[in-house]
Amino acid sequence: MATFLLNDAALWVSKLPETAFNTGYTLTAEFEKVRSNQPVTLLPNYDFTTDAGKPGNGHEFATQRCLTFTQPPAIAIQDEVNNEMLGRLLLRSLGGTVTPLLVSGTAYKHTAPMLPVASGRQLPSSTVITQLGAADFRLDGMVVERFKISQTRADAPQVECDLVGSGKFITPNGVASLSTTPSVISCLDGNFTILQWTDAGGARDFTAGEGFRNFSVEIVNNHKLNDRLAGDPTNTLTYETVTVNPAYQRRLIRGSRVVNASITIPLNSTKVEWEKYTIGQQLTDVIFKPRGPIISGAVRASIAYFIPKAKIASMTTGEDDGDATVTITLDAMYDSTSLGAVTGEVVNTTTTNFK
Amino acid sequence: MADEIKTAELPKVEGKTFNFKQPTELMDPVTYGLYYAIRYVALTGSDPAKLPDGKIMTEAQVVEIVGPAKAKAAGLVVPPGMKEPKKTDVADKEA
Repeated sequence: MATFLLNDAALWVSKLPETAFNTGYTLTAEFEKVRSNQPVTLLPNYDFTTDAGKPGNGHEFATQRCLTFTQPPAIAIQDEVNNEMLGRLLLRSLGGTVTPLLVSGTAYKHTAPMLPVASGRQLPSSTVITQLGAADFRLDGMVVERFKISQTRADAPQVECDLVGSGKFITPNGVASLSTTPSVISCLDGNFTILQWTDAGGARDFTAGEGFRNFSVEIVNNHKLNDRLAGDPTNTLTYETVTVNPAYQRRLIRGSRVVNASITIPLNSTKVEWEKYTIGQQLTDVIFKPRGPIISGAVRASIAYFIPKAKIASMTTGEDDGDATVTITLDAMYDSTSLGAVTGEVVNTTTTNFK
Repeated sequence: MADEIKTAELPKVEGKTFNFKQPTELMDPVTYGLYYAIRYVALTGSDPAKLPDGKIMTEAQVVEIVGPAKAKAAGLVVPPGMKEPKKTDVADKEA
């Protein structure tokens, strides 16, 4: 009997969003392997009702237990940014329609806005497979709960992506011959990152001059993980002649979306940003865009969040390895053109169906 | 051929044009700076008709929207006598 290192854990995510929520993919070619700094292993858990502590039993202990619901599974992916699977998940974190565009040569740009309010609250879902020995599950109905891009100085930009699911699962996963290696990934190494906004004085490039010390931008979708309804579908599990049917959520809709964004820069001999904060000046086109090698012409591989309209929410002083710094936090504001507060963009060589 | 944009009140000017149809990655530094300056005016003024995306605009149209000061800041050589546009953004007014 084999045993495993925790780092032997493997993870695959469906290349495309599910055609309907909780409709899992089943074919080998429909999945892509994903790396993560933190190993992802999963055993589904359940909710039960018991009579423990109820008056009448004559004691405080349980005499009965009923299986009710499959708890929503949660997966955390952390890795250096890439413009392949993590790019797809960035677009799914927003949920709006993805528009592909040929930029130059073999470089294609895929852009998406937030899912407009009028289009509902169900974001695109993915099918996920986690595997480590006997812990081998296909999880349907997984949505992006949180997606964060961050970078410190010129270090490789990082992504944190949290997925949560409906609770529907199949074990073993049932997909034969899954790929053994992640797809070829461009090195978005942090040196070519674009970090800028536009204010009344024009475009402000935070990579020029003294540069930035770090930035982060994060979308949190606040999914309703307790949205259980009578009539929800059930998993069917049979072990040692006993069959149980714990339910799972038929939908997994978002709550109020939150955008967290901040930029840390050196504290220098001017206080231009503080003045903009004080007067509440509107900022536009705040761009967080890690880039990598050139694909074609001047077009580089990239992954990006854009905040079309923002204001400075707060400014606090701090330090970075002894250097005085200022951290600027931003309020993302509603943009009536994109019908949201953030848009996403990925540039790669995939022609279409990148979503 | 230039896309149709709201320029009825603008003088017809021959000469340099700026291609905002192209992706930002392919824009030269002046066009890039002007692209975001025009977007700033459009977004802060809640006037999507002024958005440059997908348009080719003349130098005069650009200066008319962003004003000579921002046009100069973006690297444009602005002819004398151009006036600043009316401010529409509250924050701009406060500034």
